Amino acid sequence: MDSADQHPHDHDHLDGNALAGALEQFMVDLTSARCTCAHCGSSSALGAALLYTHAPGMVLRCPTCTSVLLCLSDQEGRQVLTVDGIRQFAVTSR
Amino acid sequence: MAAPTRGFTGRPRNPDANLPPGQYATDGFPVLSAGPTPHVPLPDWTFEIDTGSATHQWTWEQLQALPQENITADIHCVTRWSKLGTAWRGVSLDTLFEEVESEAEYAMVHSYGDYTTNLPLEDLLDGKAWLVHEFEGEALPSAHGGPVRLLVPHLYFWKSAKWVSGIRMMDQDLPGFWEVNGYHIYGDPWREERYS
Ligand SMILES: [Zn+2]
Repeated sequence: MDSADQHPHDHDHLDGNALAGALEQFMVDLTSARCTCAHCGSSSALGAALLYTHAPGMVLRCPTCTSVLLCLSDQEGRQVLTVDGIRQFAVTSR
Repeated sequence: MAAPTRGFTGRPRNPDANLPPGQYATDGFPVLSAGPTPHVPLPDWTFEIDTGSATHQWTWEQLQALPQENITADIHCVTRWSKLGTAWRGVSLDTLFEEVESEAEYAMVHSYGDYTTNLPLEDLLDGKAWLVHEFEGEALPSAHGGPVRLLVPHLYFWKSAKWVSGIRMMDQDLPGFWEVNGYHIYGDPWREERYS
């Protein structure tokens, strides 16, 4: 297969801006969201996870296996959020 | 009426030349931790250097049998506190690496728990880094990384991994825990290398 065949074509996708409306569903207090741990697969309310704040950033850990779910750092002018420990967020539809 | 100026140049000088830019000195010793404190019984404690082709392991007793050094160092946390003249006791990484053959130029430091931090190997050698097990003449408390932590005082203190368990040699400088989360890959406090 010619590598050019693998390039996306204009007619088969939209750009990410088209997600704006759908993502508004997540403009809620996410501490009520259920999140699934990427490490152990257990699911819990984000608000029930374990938060460690005496660190350069805030570290949220899975209440089941203590793996890192997310890390949020206030780095003087930018907020850095790493969420590779969360496989899935679920919120109630509005 | 304008307040009289104190200096001739108008450039504020750090009152203590030992403080890197943006740091303040504290007499306390804040406990920083990104997770639960692991408690490792000394008979179970080991430290391992993994070169990819060989592993070198030391038990607590073997570590104690190596030459011990007293270290006095200023430490600088990326959260802006510095603690000057801290006293530690432990083993130079030069001593541990004497028996290690590796071409790799980078190291990933691992801890009990899941913490990691990366450094160039040269920053661990030539009298710049130690495995320490005493602080101010007492056994290192677990809150501060005991039984054994890394001490690399010339870099921001997140590089001085608490509860250290080993070093894995790497051909590339891959990022550790805070480095993945936007902190500087190297972390020189004198250059204020806080963020990536
Ligand atoms: Zn988990």
